This record gives sequence, C-alpha cells and structure tokens, in this order.
Amino acid sequence: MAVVTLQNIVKHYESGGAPAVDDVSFTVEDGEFMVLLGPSGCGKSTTLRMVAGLESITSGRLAIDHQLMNAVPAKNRDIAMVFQSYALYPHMSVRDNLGFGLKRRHTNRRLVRQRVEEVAASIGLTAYLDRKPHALSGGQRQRVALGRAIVRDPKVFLFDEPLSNLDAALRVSTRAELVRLHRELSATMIYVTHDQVEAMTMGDRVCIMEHGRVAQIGTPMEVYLNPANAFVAAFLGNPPMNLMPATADGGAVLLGGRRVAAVAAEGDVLFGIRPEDLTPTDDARAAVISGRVASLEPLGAETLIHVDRGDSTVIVRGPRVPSARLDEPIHLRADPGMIRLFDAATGEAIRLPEEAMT
Amino acid sequence: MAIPRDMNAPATALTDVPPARDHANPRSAIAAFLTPALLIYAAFTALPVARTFFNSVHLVVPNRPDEWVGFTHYAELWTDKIFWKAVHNTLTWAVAAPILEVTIATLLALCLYAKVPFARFLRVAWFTPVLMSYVVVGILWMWILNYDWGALNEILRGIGLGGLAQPWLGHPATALPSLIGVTTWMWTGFNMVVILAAMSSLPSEVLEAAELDNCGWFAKLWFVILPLIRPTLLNLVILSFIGKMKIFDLVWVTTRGNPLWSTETVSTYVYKRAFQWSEFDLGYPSTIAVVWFVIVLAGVLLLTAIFRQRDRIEY
Amino acid sequence: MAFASDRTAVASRPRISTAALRSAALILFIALYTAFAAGPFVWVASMSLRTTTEINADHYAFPWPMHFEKFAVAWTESNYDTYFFNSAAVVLAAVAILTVVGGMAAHCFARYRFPLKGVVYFLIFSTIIFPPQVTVIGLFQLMVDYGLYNSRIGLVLVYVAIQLPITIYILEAFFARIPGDLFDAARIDGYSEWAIFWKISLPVALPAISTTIILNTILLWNEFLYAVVLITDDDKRTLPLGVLRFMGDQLEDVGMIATGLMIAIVPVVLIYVFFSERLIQGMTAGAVK
Ligand SMILES: Nc1ncnc2c1ncn2[C@@H]1O[C@H](COP(=O)(O)OP(=O)(O)O)[C@@H](O)[C@H]1O
Ligand SMILES: [Mg+2]
Repeated sequence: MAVVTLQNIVKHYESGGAPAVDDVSFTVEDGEFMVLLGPSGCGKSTTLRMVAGLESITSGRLAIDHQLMNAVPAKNRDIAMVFQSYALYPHMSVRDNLGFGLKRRHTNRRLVRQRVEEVAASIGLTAYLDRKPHALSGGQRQRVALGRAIVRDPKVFLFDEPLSNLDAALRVSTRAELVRLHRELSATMIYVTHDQVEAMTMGDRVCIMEHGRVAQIGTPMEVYLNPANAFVAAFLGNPPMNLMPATADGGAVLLGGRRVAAVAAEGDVLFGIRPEDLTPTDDARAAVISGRVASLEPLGAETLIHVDRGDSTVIVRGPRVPSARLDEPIHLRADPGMIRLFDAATGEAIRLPEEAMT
Repeated sequence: MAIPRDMNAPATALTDVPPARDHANPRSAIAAFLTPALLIYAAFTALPVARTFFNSVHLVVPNRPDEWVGFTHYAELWTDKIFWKAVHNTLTWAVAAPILEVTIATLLALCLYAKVPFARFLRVAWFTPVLMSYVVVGILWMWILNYDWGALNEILRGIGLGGLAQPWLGHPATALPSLIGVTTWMWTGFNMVVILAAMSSLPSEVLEAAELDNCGWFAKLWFVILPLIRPTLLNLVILSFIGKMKIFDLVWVTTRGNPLWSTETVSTYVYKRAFQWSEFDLGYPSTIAVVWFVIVLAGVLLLTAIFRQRDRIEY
Repeated sequence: MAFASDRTAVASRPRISTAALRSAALILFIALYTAFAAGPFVWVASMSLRTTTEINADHYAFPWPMHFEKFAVAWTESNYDTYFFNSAAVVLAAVAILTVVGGMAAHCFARYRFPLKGVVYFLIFSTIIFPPQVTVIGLFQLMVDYGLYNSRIGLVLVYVAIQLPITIYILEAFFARIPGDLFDAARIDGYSEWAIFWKISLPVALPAISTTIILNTILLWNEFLYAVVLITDDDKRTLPLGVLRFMGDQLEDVGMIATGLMIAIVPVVLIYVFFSERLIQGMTAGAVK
C-alpha cells in the first residue's frame, strides 16, 4: 500500500508547446480511491502515465511512499495499470497474460501458477485460462486486464478509462465490482475517467482537471455541492448547474433587476443554481427567475423544464407530471442555501455569507 | 482544502530532482536497438559508397598510394565510346522493359480479375519465373535461344517460319532485344500479381458506380480502373526501371556484353574495367559508377516528376 | 467510337457466339502465356533427368527412363555438395542476422522518437535505389582492408547490408501497427525494452517476420554479383557461382548443367510450394501502394 504524491507536475510533449499537464499537485493517501475527471484532452491520461513512469516528467516531483520516482522507469515502480484498450498480449493465453508480470518477478513457477489460478477464480476467469484474447468477449477481456493488475498485488493501481469500451449494462456491474475490489484490497488506486457518474459513484475523492490544470479536488459531494469555479459547476451534474450573468453592487447580487443574494463582492458575477434547487412557484414576487416554458423533457422519473429567460435558458428538474405548460410564463424559486456565485472574469467561486438571502 | 495538504509533502520527496529521463524514449535502448544496423550500414554501405566516390578522382593501383588525378577520369569517360554504348544499351533496356512488363502484366491481371477459372493457380504459376536466379534464367534462355535446337527456333521452324530462325544472342541486332524479352518473361508475373492486388483492393462502390453509368468494360478499364491504380503502376515502372539500370547477372551469364558490345551494360562494363581487364586501376571504373549513380538518380526523379505532373493536370 | 459501332454490329448476330468467341480468345491467351511462363521450367526439369546423349538425340522428349542418379553424380563429383552447403550456410546466417538486426532497427523506428530519426531513416532507405556498381568497387577494397575478402563471413555481412533496408521497411510498417499500449503494459509488467522486443514485438509480428525471412532467403539464395566479386576460392563458392563455373567447364554437357540448375531451383520451389502466399506478399511488399 502506498501514498502517491504529485508536486507541481508539468508535462510538455513538445518543448516550447503548450503544456499537456500544468502544475498539478495532489496526494493520494494510502488506500484511497482517487478519480481524475475531466473532458477529453485535459491531461488526465498524461498525468496517469507520468505516475506510471510511461512518460517522463518535465518538471515537478513525483513520490510513491515518500520516495522520489521521477527517474525510476516503469518496470521498477511496482504499479499496475489497466488500459482502455486492455492491451492484452494477443499471442499469449489468458493464463500467460495473467502470469507475464509475475514471471518477471518470481522464478518459482508453481507459485506463479497458483497465484494466477487464485486470481482467475476470484474474477470468474477459470474457464477461460487457456484461451487467447481474440476468443474472448469484450467483458471477458476487460476482466483479464483487471486480473493482470490484481495478480501482481502492486503498490498502486492505475486505471485509464477501463470501462469505456463496455456496453452500458456491463459498465454498471463492473463499476460495482471495482468498488468491491477496492474495499477488499484496500489498495491505493488512481482512476481516470471522463464519465462523471463513475467519478461520483466510485471515488473517495475526485480531482477535476481542465486544460492540464487541477480545477478542484474534493469528495464527490464537496465538488458537486461547492464547485470551486464555474468550470466545475458547469462540468458536473446532468444537466449541469445553471449559470446566469448577474451583477453585484457591493451588497447584493442583482439578477434581471431582482436582488437575489447578499454578497460583499462588486462587479459582474455568475449566478449559479442547480436544476434540482429551483422550484416553480405562483408567487411572482418570491421568484428569483421568471421566464417562459420553452420545452418539456419527460425522463420518466422526472421532467426537465427548459425556461427561456430571454438572454439565457434555465433548466429546472420538475416532478414526473409538472404543472408547467408549454409557452406559458413560469416563476422559479431558488433554494437560498444552494445559490452559488462566481466571479464573471476569473470564474472563481465567491463565498457567500451563511445567512445570505433577501 | 486539498492544497495545504500537498504543501506538506514528505521531506524525502523534496530532495533535488535528478536530470530528466525520457521514459517513453529511453536513450540507451534506442542506441542499443539502432547500433548494429547502423554499424552494418556504415561499414558495408556508406563507407563503400564514399570509397567509390573517393576513387573516382584518384588513380587506384595496387601497392601504390592513391594518386589524386582530379577530374581526369571524368574527362576520359566523356570520350569513352564503349561507356556511351553501354549507357545507350542500359537505358534502352530500362525504358523498354518497364513498358513491356507493366503493359502485359496489366492485361494478364485483367484476365484474372475477370474471374477466369483457376485464377489462384495461374497467379501462382505466372509468378514463378521471378523466383529463379538470373544465373539459372540466363543458362536456361541461352538454350531456348540456341540456334540449332533452341525452343524458339524449333517453334519457328515448326510453324513454317524457319526463315526467321536466328542465332538470337549471337547477332548484334537481336541480342539486346532477346535479353529484354528474357527480363520481360521473368518479371511480368511479378508485376501482374501486384497489379491484381491493387485492382482487388479497389473500393467496389467505384466499380458499381461505373456499372450504373453504363460503362463498357473498356471504358471502365480506361477511365476508372487505370487511373485508380496509377500509383501502383508508377511504383512498378520505377521499380522495374531501377532493376534494369542495375542489370548485371543475366548479361554476364549469357553474352558478357557481346557481340560487338551490343549487350554491354554499365554494370558489366564497370565489372570488366574493375576486375577483368588487367588495368589494375579502380579509379576509372569508380568514376563510371559515380556518373551512373547520378544518371539513375536523375532518372528516378524524372519519372516521379512526369507522373506527378500528369496527376496534377488530370485531377 | 469504333468500340460503339463494333457493339451495334455485334448485336445483330446471335449473342452466344460473340461471348464464346471472346472467352475462347481469353482462354487461348491465358494458355499461351502459361506455357510461356512455365514451359522453360518444365523443360529444364525434364532435361535434368536425362543424360546428355539422350538430350542430344531429342531435346524435347519425355524423360524416360528417369536418371535420378544424375543428382547424386552432380552432388558428389561436381562439387555441388560444397556449393550447396556454402549457399545454405551463408543464406541461413545472413537471414538470421537480418531478422534480428533489422527487427531491432524496425522496432526502434516504430516505437521511439529520437533526434535525427527522419535523417537516419532516409539515409538507410535511399540505398534501395542505389545501383550496386556504386558500392561494389569500394566494398571490394574495404573487404580487403577488413580482411573479409574471399570469406564466407564477409559475404554474410554484405548480404545483411544489402537486404537491411527492405527488411526494416517491411517490419517497420508492421510494428507501427501494433498498438503502443501493449508495450506500455509490458513495461509496467516489469520488462526491460530489450525483453519487450523479444517477448512482444517479435512474436506479435510473426507474420511479417516470416515474410521477410522467406523473401530474404530467396533473394540471397539467388544473389550473384557480390558473390562473384567477393569470393574467389572454389570451395567457398555459392550455388550460382558453382553453376556458372560448371557451365564454363562443361559447356557441352547440357544434361549435367540442367541437373545443376535443378539443384539450385529446387529449394526455392519447395519454399514456394509451402509459402507461396507469404512469399508473394514479401516480394510485392515494396511495390504495392
Ligand atoms: N504522445 C503525445 N504527443 C504529443 N501530444 C500528446 C501526446 N499524448 C497526449 N498529447 C496531448 O496532450 C494533451 C492531453 O492529452 P491526454 O492526457 O491524453 O488527455 P485525456 O486523457 O485527458 O483525454 C492533449 O492535448 C493531447 O493532444
Ligand atoms: Mg485519455
């Protein structure tokens, strides 16, 4: 088990070009499940590959168990990695795929065989041990990739979008299995994904990245409830947080002419509220937002109400059968405790006083 | 909240970072993988070529230091009638053979493409001649072209054209064309296989579209298939061109350049001047090699340029 | 135009006859070409089983009785055993070295980025179009300097050098198609770059490797120019040199020469019978675009 520390990690693929990873720092505690989450191209894989030792670190420090790892090649880091493509060795049977890493470390063939069979049994691959990868289904391949990591009993597990090649149903069940696995092994894991559901359901903590930088780190609930900036607010949630331009006059936030929150800030701000924290109301004067119902999206369990405010659209999570009617005016109340404000220029969150409402 | 924790990173991690190491492209591995190939390349290709260039401006005689002679060899080459005869022969060969090979090969490929029975067998059978060495092919064709009992003359006599029977390799007018025929025999099957592969990999929608446009087979060939496999044809022409510019073994086995230098190629002439005629100067043959190298290079560039240009006009 | 009028003229006559005519012409053409392509081989095969006296009586008779003992005679009395052994040894050694050295270089070009990669690649590949004249004289002098003139080891190294570019070309194209994750997985599994080359690159690329092995075997088995320049001793001669020497000595002994030719051809034909598709693939690898 191990602690992984990244300190001011920077990666340039082309010297002089834009950094793929820019000043990333975080620590993954012993036994923690850390998720790296972000849109495609934000540098998650690059970060993971630097931890693995597959890419060199342009500057900054990487330590595993307080030992500096920058110059240690991948083969000596005692980590295991599961790839999106699974990267199974096509010319080896499942048994040899599982045992390939062990054979390098242990010479005792009997022990290797025993360990391989033990792990194969635990993930239900015993029947396929002598097949080649091309004779396996996608889900089975994924299991072999997983087994290949488990069998080594490494200090750190790394996952690079391991579920994205599975179909939806398999993805849900494998997700649960990974969580169980993490609990059983209580191993340190770093998990890269662009799927926020995976991040929310699996991570002890989530590190959200944007353009190679860390946007926010925290538990799934922390980052969902208190986004550190407008990017995180808009990235998380489906549909994401509503963000509307507003102004602050030093005492209060004005949204469409209404005072909607008290705040010490001044200037342009973004007013943020999650769709589930808006409720339709008949009382136009208690409303924070007013508009016209532009469309209704019934999703079964709930209905999304798209409200046209003129210059922007707001999405509201309504009940299964909403009272709102298409094209009719609608007034929305906001849960005062759930209003979030962001600096319009920098996107940074603005702290609200606890008792903030008019 | 996460940030202060990172500032407290363990002290051991704060020791100075060693110089960066490229984990994805480790220098030592690259050097280890490349060195043997580079050594062999340097010792048996690059150095010999450099040595030949060096020779070309020296008098290179055994047991004497090489003597700088400037461009004397080049001047001598300019007036060397045999050399120009050899250039003429080789160029004739290098121009005629690719045209013959690629044209016949295209016709053959079309036959097989038209779903003739036994196509697989024919493809394998037609490819066979290219597997034999020029030495074997040379001896074999010396017999086939033999005046008294060679197959060619026997056939001519058999169909009543006995008057055309010739000592094919013994006559200055027929020797070179005969040898060109031999290389065509040898290489056409190879070209056919490549062209067939190119045709088979054409997107079938294109041909179906042509079908819908109510094309006849000739129009389909001329306006659809040939333009599409043009890059392959160009490659084959260049490959054949280069091959014929090198040709040595076949001539050496059959005629040694005779009769009357009518089959002398640059390769055989270089070989004779370097290793056969008792001149003991390697400088002059090296000059021939260098000049020839330049001509081949120019030829390849020219061919590529011609085809490229036509491409640009047509599309 | 002529084509169109041709069509209308044909349409008035019964259809079957033109179709039949056309396919008959096609079959005739194919049959003639097949005879042309394969006939010489059949002829030399038949002569290899006949004595010179028989041949001189009729050059085109069926080989009966078959004189298989001629092969034993050529083998023992005309030094073909030595030539054959030399060819086999030189070709085997050269192909083995080529596979490893070319494979290593191809692996390097396909897997790593390094400074001057483009330049090195270009230098190696430009030699494909070099006429051999430009290397052969300098090579002759250098082989004398290296002490490798008139030596089979020297010939092996030269053979490696002349086949290296095409070998790297074929293998590199294949290696480049192996997904990089495979190599990363092996690195993480604890293997060195060298071990990865042997345990991942080579086995996964087995189809391409076997293609280059077969291709190199045939081309080098038939090689003549470098052998004739670099080898002088009779007991170091390879088969093509041996065949030619025998022909020079025994110009009239057509039967024995034909037997010698067959000894040179048979190994190639055997390889071709078993690996024709792979061989065709290798031979044409450079030409298909
Ligand atoms: N091998 C590489 N060479 C050059 N640029 C790369 C390489 N790999 C990734 N990049 C670039 O680095 C950035 C981050 O990529 P990556 O870490 O793969 O993103 P993610 O995994 O978050 O989708 C992207 O802009 C990508 O184009
Ligand atoms: Mg990625």
